[in-house]
Amino acid sequence: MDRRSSGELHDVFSAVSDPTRREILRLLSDKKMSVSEITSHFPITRTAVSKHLNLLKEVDLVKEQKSGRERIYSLDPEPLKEIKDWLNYYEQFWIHKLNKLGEHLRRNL
Amino acid sequence: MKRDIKLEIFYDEPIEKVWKALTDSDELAKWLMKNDFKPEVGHRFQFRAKPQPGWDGIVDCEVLEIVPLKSVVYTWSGGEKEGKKLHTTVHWTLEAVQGGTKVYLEHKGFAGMKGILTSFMLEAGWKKMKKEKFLDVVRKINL
Repeated sequence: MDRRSSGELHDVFSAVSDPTRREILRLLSDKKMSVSEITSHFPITRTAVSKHLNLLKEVDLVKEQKSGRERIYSLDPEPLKEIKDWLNYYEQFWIHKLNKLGEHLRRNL
Repeated sequence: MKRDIKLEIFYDEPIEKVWKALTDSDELAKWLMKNDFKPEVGHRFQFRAKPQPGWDGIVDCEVLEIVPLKSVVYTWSGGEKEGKKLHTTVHWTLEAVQGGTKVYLEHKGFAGMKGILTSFMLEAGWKKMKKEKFLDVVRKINL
């Protein structure tokens, strides 16, 4: 994987590290919802919920559709795949380095 | 649900030699990356590689544990973007065995992610397509 996608991954991590945003994702995993519907599940303001939604939107974990005057949000779990790429990247990195260590031990020490 | 990177390798070299390669700054530089590592708990250091687009080439670390000839643990925070880094830890464990040394390497820190996926699995009212889709992703991630 390239480093750019690793940067994006951090954003996915930080996006889901917040309990409110996790709860929002959970709600959306059940069905599409408007901001008002989502807000009704939390003791926080609609503005605060919108902020969380915007952040989730930025990292592509939720999609927004307009329906009349409402915005409807739905879940897209695809970005979580990047975590897999990240793990694969580091696994290859370490395998490569452990082989280099082996060569180094044989030759130089 | 498992995972974090776990690797195990055998070198037909004495444990002292492997330990030196893991904990001597100059030796580390020869096979891992340039660094200012010191084998002291609390020591903050960096690994530096050639910067690449989207990555400054720097990994920030702090020594968490040093047990001579046995284990080294340090934090590993790399790949900065807007001041945010992914915080992980690297654990090296050595074991003297017949004819050489076994090295166990664990790269951990996906704990947060694992917890999130687990809580999704356990608590969410997964239904219909979404459920299938999400579980499929989780399966692929294999955390």
